[in-house]
Amino acid sequence: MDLFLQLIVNGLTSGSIYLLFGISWGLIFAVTRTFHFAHGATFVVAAYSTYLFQQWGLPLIVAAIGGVCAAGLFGMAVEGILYRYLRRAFATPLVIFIAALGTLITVENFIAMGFGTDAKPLEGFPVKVIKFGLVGFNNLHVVMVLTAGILFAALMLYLHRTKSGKALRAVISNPEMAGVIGIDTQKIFLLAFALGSFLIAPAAVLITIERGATPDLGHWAILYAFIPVIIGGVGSLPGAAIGGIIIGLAESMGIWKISSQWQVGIAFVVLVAVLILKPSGLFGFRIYRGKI
Amino acid sequence: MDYILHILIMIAIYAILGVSFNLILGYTGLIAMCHAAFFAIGAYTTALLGIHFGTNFLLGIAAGMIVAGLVSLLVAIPAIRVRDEYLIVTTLALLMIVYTVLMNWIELTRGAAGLSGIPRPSLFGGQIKTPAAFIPLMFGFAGLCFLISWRIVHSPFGRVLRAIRDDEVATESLGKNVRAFKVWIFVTGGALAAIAGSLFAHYMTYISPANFTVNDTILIFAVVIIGGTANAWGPVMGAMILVSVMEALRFLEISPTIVGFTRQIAYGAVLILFMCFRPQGLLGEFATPAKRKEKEPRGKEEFQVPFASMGETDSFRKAIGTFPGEGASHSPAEALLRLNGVSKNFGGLKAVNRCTLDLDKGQVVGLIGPNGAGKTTLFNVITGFYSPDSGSVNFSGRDISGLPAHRIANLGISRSFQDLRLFHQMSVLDNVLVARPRQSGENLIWALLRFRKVSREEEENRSKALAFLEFVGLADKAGELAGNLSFPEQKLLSLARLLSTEARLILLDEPASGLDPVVMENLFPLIRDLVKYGKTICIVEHNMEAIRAMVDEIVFLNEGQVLARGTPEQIMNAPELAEIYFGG
Repeated sequence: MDLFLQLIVNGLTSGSIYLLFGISWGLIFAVTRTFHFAHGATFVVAAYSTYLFQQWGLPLIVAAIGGVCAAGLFGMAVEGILYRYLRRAFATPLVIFIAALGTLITVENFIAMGFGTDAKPLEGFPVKVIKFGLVGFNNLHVVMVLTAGILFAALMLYLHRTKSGKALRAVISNPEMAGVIGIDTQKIFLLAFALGSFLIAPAAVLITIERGATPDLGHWAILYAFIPVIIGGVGSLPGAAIGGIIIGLAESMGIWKISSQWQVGIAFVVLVAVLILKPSGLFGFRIYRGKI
Repeated sequence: MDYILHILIMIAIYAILGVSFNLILGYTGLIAMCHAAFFAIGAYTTALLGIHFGTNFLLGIAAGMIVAGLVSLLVAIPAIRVRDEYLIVTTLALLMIVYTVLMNWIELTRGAAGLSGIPRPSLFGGQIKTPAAFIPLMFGFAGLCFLISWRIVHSPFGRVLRAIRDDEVATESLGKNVRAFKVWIFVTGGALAAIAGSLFAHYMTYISPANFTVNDTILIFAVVIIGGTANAWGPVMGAMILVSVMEALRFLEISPTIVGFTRQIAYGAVLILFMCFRPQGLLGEFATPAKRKEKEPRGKEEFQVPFASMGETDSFRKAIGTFPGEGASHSPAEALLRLNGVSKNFGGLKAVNRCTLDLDKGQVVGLIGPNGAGKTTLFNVITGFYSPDSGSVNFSGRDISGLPAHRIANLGISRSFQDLRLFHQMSVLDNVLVARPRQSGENLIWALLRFRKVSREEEENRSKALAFLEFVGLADKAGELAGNLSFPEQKLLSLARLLSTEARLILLDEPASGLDPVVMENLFPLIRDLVKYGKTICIVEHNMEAIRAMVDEIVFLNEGQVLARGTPEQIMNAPELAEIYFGG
């Protein structure tokens, strides 16, 4: 029983990171329909700029805020400069995807060249172990779960309560109609990229505190950003959030029986199972291959 | 000298990878991230067989192809079911899993240490050791892969692949099982990549997981993109350029790690720059590139169809033929199409609401009604793009409700689209050719092996397709890209494509919109006359003049139900219908 509880706790902590990955990428994809592969680059930009700011002598929290801002700026730059240019040239989704892939590779390797490939830690977070009976975790895990919960709640409130949030939802449900009623889709796209990039940055900072940053984490982040979105259903942000938690729990439960090296395998099995059993995702509506 | 030979061998290996990936990415437009995984599977399969059992390398290659084929099948079937984006995710996950297996299944793969001592291949009793001896082997296999890919893309099978890339829905509506085509090409590409892996393993005699990372997938992407997607020679050129540059970088006097990063940055930058400034690659798909897609159809003034040439010719009469099985299974007392209480809801909206409707053979029926009456939805239900929530659709005495769209199309129902959905990146002739039914060359195995039969059939289909183009007056534009035609020309082309399917029941969605009166005057009698060839036609149209010119009967649809049915005069003179129609 204690082991079971421990696994749940572990699953919830990693799940809350996946939740942030999922909602951040899911928001961008739902609004802009851009397969934003360079989201992984945003992740490493956030991690390494926080590291850099700390090296300059800033305290952790200030450095983290700096990292979040850098990530937001980076995401907006990718949208405002690259994607917007390509969309104007009537690029196909394939063209945009490959450009995004190129961006991820370029950024990861620039960072690798500048910082090396060894793990870069963030300091200044005093980790304290907390124990409830036999179930143990630490205060960093608490911060992870709280950050994810608060950011998700804030995003939902924002989308439903504010004018620009409602505009975002309008574009999600029907981009053409949103354009017709006078919503500036270009601005909304930029907003979605800014928000999505802001949302992944705290996850990047927390991961870096826990296990240090390496340049190739970008690939990992992007994979774990897609999977919750597909499990939850494209277009549903609560779905993406739940999808993230499910993956976290599934991996944690899986590690009970299998060695932790096979983590990716577990996520993959869940993904394929969902694709076979409920292709539209757990909470997604049936999406047609195109408008007929 | 050996060093130059080494470079040539690497070019051959990357050319195989590029050619096979081009089939998936360039011709079909599927984005897969796992090509390096197939490369790895080929390499490890042949290496393990060679090390442990001393298997001949040809058997090793075959085994590698089979394993890679099976793995790709396992991934493709669930991933290709729904959306293209899902394939990106699943294949990226597969790539990571294969890498994890290579790193962690130590007993089998020896983990990060890699496999060494892979036997050199032996052929005709002699062992191949020197690079010079490898050259014929490598180029032999590269040539073989190139020929296979050449044959595939120039066959009817390859034509369907390009159609899928341009417009999946339209391809499905022409009776092609889109999903099966995608799975076939994905598996073929994977198996061909395994050949490159096997050759690589036997040539290097040492492999490790480091040879098969995401970076290698990116490299293969770059090979295809730089050379040119959907151009047979593109990947060959891409391989030559990238391998040479890669080797040249070795001579720079910087540390190897920095070289590695620089190389990756260069690949990334090259991908971005090509996408921004030359998305078709160095060698494009066509000699003259397609004009970029225009948002608005161009003006009518450019339209110059020689009307004299529009119309029925002898070859057209021969080509349009009659649908096989005509008459035998079909009793005259029964309607050709019978809708019985069909409903289709979208959330709370009842788009089609218990609609009951019969269409008799040889009729031309107009379907009219206010916006949102469910006309297009009804078309989508009949053609299988939506399955009805309740009720049944009978065609020629057979219940077709719930059948997939391509099956219904093959039974003899074909439809046009309001937005035409032509294959813009294909020639006008290919647009019509791809629609021909029952092409044996659409079977991948036959396309590769039964060369004669396929090309004889192709000859026949080509002359029929030309006859349909003559019918709509586009015969002299046969070689042009469909995307470069003016809007009215595209409209006519979509009609030719529709007729080319030999469907018995033709559903036309707004055939008159966007056409000027002169064209309409020429076109309508032609459509009307199709009845002579055993066609039954149902037309959705807002232009009342057009309706009056073409139809025998009008069905008035409102809120998803049939409200009235009668001759054009009866319907158009009914004041209560006019009130509904014009939004009373």
